[in-house]
Amino acid sequence: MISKGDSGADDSAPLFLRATSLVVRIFGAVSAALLLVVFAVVIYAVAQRYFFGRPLLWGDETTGWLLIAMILCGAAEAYRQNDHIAMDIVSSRVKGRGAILLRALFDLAVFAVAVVIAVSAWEAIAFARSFGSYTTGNFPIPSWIPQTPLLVGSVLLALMALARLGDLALRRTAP
Amino acid sequence: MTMALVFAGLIVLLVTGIPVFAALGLAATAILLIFEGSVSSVADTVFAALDKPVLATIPLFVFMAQIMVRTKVIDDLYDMANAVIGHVRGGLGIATVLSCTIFAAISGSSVATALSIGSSAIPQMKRFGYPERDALGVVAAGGTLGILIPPSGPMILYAIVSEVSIGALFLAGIIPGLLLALIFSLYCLARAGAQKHEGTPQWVGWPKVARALGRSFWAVMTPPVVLGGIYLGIFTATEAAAVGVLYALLVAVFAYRNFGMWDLVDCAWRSMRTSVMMFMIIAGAAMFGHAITIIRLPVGVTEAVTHMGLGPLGFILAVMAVIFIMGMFFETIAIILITTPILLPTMVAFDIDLIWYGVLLMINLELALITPPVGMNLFVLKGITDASLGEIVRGTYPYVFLMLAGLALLIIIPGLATWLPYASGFGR
Repeated sequence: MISKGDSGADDSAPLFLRATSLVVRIFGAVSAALLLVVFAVVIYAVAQRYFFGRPLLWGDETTGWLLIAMILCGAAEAYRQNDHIAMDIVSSRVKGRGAILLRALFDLAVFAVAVVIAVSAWEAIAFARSFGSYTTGNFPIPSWIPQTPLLVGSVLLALMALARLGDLALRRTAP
Repeated sequence: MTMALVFAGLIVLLVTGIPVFAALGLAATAILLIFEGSVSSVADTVFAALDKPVLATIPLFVFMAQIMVRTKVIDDLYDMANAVIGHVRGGLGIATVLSCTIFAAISGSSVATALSIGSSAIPQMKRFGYPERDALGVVAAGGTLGILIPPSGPMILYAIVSEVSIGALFLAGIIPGLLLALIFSLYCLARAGAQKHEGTPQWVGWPKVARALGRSFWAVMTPPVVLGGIYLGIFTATEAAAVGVLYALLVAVFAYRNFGMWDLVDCAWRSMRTSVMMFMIIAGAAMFGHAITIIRLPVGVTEAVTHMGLGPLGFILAVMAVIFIMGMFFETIAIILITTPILLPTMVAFDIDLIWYGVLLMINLELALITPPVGMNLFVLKGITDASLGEIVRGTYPYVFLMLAGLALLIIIPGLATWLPYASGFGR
């Protein structure tokens, strides 16, 4: 069900795939770091409430935004590592050209969904900036700020899908 | 007709091997383009679905489990269970179930439970003459307890989608989880009695049992530390998960002393990868949920069920049958996120207890983990042993029937799930 393993930007991989993989890995590292930040914020909020008697007003909002940033920064890395859950009942049995076709379909689907999210996120950010909207809650900030990871993450995902498609076209064998 | 087309399209996309999040996203995009002519709402939908602080519970529990696994508390846990019960005929099987039950309350994941306990338990059981099939079966089934006994990642997802209290749902899973563990243990006992050739380790004596209990103290204390905070009203679920991470770190650094900075980085990295794949399915499911709401599909399901004349019980039985079949092919998270928004209006219309349904769903999803052709625990065992998939599947058959019996019992006696949360003050 879950196929794991590095999708491989090995030494023989084309330059565009290696370059994209490097960027995606860096964002993956940012995502892992953000998990540590989420942990620190929640623990800080608990400590503030129980040890200092000052409940944190911005804890919940920040946790939500950090979480979105974590997810979107890491999505392309999880995809690069083939972590995303897929049903492999058919794909695991198909060989040769069929396997290449299914793999291309796999990457095309990810590319299409990433583009849809990116376009929609771009529109949402442009609207938020032109309208000057702010988030609601105890800690209002311009709403385009927490929305930006949605754009960055989906663009990364689309780039990774494109790089994999390009690699597939050059190699003509399913990895 | 629309309903059939939507599901047929989604199934085709999923079967081709497209990632679940992309299949859901593509299906949603097609619906939105056909019926709304625009996909502008997608970003807002995805943002709203992910901008929930309570979702931080999931990566934090995954992180806690990663640290616990890294520090090798599992070995101590299995040694303890083995020392206490291993010398009884069938005791190694019971020790495996016991270890799975405790580790389920640490990891919140069935796959992690089967993987971690299986690595220690299967070689030990084989060494003492357990038929391989039996050893594989008990680990595969015991591992499924991970999603029923709290904390549980799938339970958190269901709670968020259905807006049920996470604490109430966690409490509701305890009695059914322990009941299933008891049923599995009794089966191990009965099976061992029927197979005279099986050996058992010798009784190690009270001093060694005491030492094993002492070594496993930190692992055994994890559930009370994490869940106790929620039930005593000290922490929210997210805070409890973060405190669990802190506890795991303190145990790793000060008690086990085998955990360095690179271990922390690696655990964070692995937790990020595991969590992100779940969250991307949540994002895809949010898009899909938004799209099917626009075409009024959930309302259509409610109307169709009403016209069929199914009562609440008939509806639950039909849903359980459908989810059982889906479980053979789909992954648990996908099942929760695809079915719950569709079924929720009908359940509300029938006044079905959402906590009770949540527990029924979890048991059904446990079955999904051990029923072929797609059963995650089956694949995990295939990965850590040299057994054939067929042998693993044959080993799990008795447990499938035992779990179906447990599911039936819970349908007949809903109080097994609902009594504890309501008695603890969680209102309906």
